[in-house]
Amino acid sequence: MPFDVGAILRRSRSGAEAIFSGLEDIRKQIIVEKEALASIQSQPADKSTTVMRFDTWMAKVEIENVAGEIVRRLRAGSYREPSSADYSALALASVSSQIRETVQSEIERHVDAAPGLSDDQRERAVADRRERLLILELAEEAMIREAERAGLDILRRGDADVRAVLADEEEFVRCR
Amino acid sequence: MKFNTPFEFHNRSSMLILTKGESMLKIDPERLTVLRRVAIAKRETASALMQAAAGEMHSCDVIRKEILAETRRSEKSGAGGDELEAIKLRRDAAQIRVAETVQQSEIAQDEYRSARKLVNRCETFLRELHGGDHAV
Repeated sequence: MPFDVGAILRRSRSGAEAIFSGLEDIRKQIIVEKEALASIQSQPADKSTTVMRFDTWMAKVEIENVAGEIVRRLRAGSYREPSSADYSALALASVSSQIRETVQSEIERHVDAAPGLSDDQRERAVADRRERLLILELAEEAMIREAERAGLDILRRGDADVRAVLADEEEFVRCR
Repeated sequence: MKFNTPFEFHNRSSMLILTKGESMLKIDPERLTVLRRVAIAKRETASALMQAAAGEMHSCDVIRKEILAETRRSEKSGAGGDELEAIKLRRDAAQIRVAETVQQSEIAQDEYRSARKLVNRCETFLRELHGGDHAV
């Protein structure tokens, strides 16, 4: 467990002042975790993911695919003349290898500046941060309930995690 | 609303249990009653403070009228400056009380809105858990 909820709670028992300062500490950590989470989510994709996305998109404009589709239409029993847009697609497809080269060198340049994350890495990092956030939110809620029992009025955050706010009392007994 | 951390969902009597791998989190829907009570208390505080602010504003108006009357009276008689000063001091004090009460009332209203927002989010969460529309 990355955060020792029990230690945080033990500290809070020394009095109201400790509750408020402990709560402030936790709320600061929650802000830091949320920023870290947002930062992970906004990280660019790594090289292999970017290349894969590019390849998927390029496959649609490859000369063989576009030319094949036009030939199928030219040979169709219910013939309909290709449009000027089809001509543009064909012209673009005929230079797809140059486009590929240009974009690939651009990908290299971007990846050198910021390596980024694969989808798996991002998913794991996000899950880890969310887990930490939930633990912090549980610690915050535990403190608020202790304060309420001591007759102190502490306002919960409007954006608090509802799972922590609605957590059963037993969850906090385990933390003590 | 989909929740960020996917948890499996089990419903055992009135307690809801969210599980993810080996982690488990018990949800007590009854907690919502406590949160609603907090929101109601905040609303009542905000409402009482608004009424108090209105009362203070009324006092200010009364004092203003007193000042007007006293000014006219002292203009006619050519005396009564001390009385006027005393009323003005009372007016200043009343204006400070109005500002303070209005500020407290605004804080209380913000607190009520925040508490209400949390209650709404909890209601939506529980409704979706019961309705089966939850992220797994």
